[in-house]
Amino acid sequence: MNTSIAGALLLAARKLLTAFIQLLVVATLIFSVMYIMPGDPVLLLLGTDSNPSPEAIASMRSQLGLDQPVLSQYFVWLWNALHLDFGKSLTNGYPVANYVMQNLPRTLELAFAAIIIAALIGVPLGIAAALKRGSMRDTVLTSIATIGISVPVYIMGTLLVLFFSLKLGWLPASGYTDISRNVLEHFRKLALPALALGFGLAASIARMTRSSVLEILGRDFVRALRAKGMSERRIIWQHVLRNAAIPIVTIIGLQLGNLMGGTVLVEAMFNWPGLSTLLVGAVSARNYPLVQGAMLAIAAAFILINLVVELLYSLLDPRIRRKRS
Amino acid sequence: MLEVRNLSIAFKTSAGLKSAVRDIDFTIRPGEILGLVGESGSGKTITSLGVMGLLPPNAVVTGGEVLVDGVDILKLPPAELRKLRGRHIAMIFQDPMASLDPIFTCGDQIVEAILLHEPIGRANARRKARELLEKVLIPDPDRAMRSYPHELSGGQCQRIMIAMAVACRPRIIIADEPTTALDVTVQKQVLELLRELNEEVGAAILLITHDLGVIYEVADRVVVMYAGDKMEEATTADLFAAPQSEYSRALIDSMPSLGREAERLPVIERDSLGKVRSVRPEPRARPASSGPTPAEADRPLLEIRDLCKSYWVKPAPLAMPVEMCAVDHVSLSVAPRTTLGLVGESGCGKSTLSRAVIRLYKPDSGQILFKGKDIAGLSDKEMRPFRREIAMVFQNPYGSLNPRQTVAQLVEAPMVIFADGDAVGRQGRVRSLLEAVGLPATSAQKYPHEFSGGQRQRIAIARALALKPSLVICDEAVSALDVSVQAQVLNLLKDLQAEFDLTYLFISHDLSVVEHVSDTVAVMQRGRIVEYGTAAAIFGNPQEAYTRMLLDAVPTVGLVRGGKEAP
Repeated sequence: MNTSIAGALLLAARKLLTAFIQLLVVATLIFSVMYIMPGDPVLLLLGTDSNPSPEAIASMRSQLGLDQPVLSQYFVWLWNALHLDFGKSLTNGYPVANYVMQNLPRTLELAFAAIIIAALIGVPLGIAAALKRGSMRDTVLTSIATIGISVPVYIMGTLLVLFFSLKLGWLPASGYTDISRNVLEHFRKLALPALALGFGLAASIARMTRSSVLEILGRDFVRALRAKGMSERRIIWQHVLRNAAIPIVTIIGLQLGNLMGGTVLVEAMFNWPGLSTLLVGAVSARNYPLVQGAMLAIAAAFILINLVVELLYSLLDPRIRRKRS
Repeated sequence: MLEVRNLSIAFKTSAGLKSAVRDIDFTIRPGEILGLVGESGSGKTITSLGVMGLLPPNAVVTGGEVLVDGVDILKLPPAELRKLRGRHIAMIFQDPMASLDPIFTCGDQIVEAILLHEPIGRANARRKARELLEKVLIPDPDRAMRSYPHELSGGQCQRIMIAMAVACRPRIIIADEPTTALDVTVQKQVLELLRELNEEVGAAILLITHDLGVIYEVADRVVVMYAGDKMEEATTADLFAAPQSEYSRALIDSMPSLGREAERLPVIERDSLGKVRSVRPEPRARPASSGPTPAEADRPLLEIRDLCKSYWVKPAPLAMPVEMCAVDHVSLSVAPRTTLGLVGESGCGKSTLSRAVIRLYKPDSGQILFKGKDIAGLSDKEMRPFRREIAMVFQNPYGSLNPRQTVAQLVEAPMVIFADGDAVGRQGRVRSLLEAVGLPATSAQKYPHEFSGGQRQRIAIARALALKPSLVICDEAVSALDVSVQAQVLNLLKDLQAEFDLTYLFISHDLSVVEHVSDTVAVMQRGRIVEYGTAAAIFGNPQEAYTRMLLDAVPTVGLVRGGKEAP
């Protein structure tokens, strides 16, 4: 058994290394994009109308380290980023890391809430449709799922606001309350953006679950289990679902990763002060260090979530755990 | 004990009910092994599923009874029927690996089967599961208990399935093609195991198979099915000595059997009245051919010298990769217009060897001399002219034909790739090729799904011949086919060899087929050729222990085997 544990650890170490390399590549890309982008941050900072003197520009350049060769700028930036130092905001001089640390958990919270809602709706619906394949129930559920995928998130958000806050008055339409201030209010404000994000995801998770369960139901071993005399319910719960879980976990993980960057519309709509809001603000203000920091945080979260999902596979599927990776 | 009376089963189709099995009846007596034999589509598997109450949703029982101890199980409520399954009637399936849940250990799955019918507690069930594994003679039972199915071989998985089937001491075991997916030597072990358990546990076995050799070896009585009808029921001895129905006689005839010389295999035909009979077709007259020049005849068409091809595999996740020699210093030669049969069990490297010859793989070292030129080290571009000369026919006629192309497009494709002739000329050639493989000209515009397995293999052969190759590699080309269809295709290959001056490299795990088609034979084991010589020498007087073991494992009709009297 030792080899299998060692194998699992080795697999984890290898995935971790891959994730680190991915992150490095992303960081390099982010740096280059900022470097290639038109517009001089120094001129922006000093204000174009004031017509700054060449001395003022030069001193600002050296202050920001922009007079150094590109490569050395890159390594300094990378080295600092490794220590979670993304520089200072150009507008007010606060460390970028503080902004990121403040806003990242809010986006993560929104994304996780959305994915949990999506899984809670999508997985049972998918199973229900698969078990009665070709029935009225299946047709209705599959159609609802198709509609769910096709409705854009801002339409869904608008409908939710119209119904739950304007008509029924149950939930606040937008805003954010810190959990330390008022727990109930915090979750009341989380509900609508999370639902709006979750609905579309629920539909795609439902479809994936349906096809995954159907695929497993058609396998030979299900017939063999019936021949053993096992009840249909036990076959479904103990064997079919566990086998079907692997592709379902994949899609949930992928969606969660996509949500990290995909919350822009919802955050804007519900006035949710997350990373996307931060990023959009920073881009329009040409606040380069803040843009870099926010982008890197989103990329890191995406890569990390995918890493966790991949490690989850090996828990679910012994074939991955024991085979050479 | 189990009595099937006038059982009829039909499939629900858009055009109404399509009958699959009609008025089948048979009885299994305690302790006996009843063979149910027939070709694919004969309804034998659907009959067994009907007996278990496990019919797929699109099949219905349209009449008859299945009596277990006098109770008609078709009328039992699902919960009652479930108690019967696994406890009174157990089942063993064809593909053992696929019949086990891949994400549970084998031990857990046996324990689960025990606990379903005998609530004796987990610890006791584990102990019992281990005893069962010992009983089915699995090597290292403790390891097997904690192994996942993919960590065991096919034969070991089938032992796990058998252990599970006998766990609750059922009185009837239905074994549906239990050895079809296994090598001959493993098949022999599994059949012996079934026989022993049959004597020891006293369970009656309904053995479903297409292989008459298997029936001959182990069954006490036989039911022969054809196209949903029961053709005959007899004791095994009577069936082989004096088959009563025309179909049984034809089926027995068309089987290439070890040690039986036959230039052409009889095939099964159905006349206009629907009567089946065995026909031994005449060889087609050989068209005028220039004939080989003497110098050509002396030189081998293909000569393999010291060929090696290995893979790097890791035995454990942390271990250093080790070299696995799939092909290990192999030397062979094939004379023009002859057939070299290459036999061996799965994993012996025969497919790797064939793929190295056609240069799908680049060999590590050694020479492949084709018409005297070494093609082992050629680049893809240099290899191109040789690809015209070497063609391949694969095992699975369902997978190797693009379903979106018509037969004409499929057969024409190689000529298009090599820009061979103009469109009109190619059309003419497609027509003559289809004629040569015995397909009507009208089939040119049809798609592969409109054909049966045997017809598809004919299409694949026509395609292989499109560029007038001199060497055709047949990799298990008839393994997926029924005996009677196999006979047709083997006859066709022989005709074509004479007609088109072909040389075959014929790869198969089936020794009787290899004996039937080959001039020379090479026996392969773990990457090495262990014995190589003329077919007559190898089958008549095998020198190597491994060859003898392989030959011995083949269930053969007509020889005294397994302590049974010859009929």
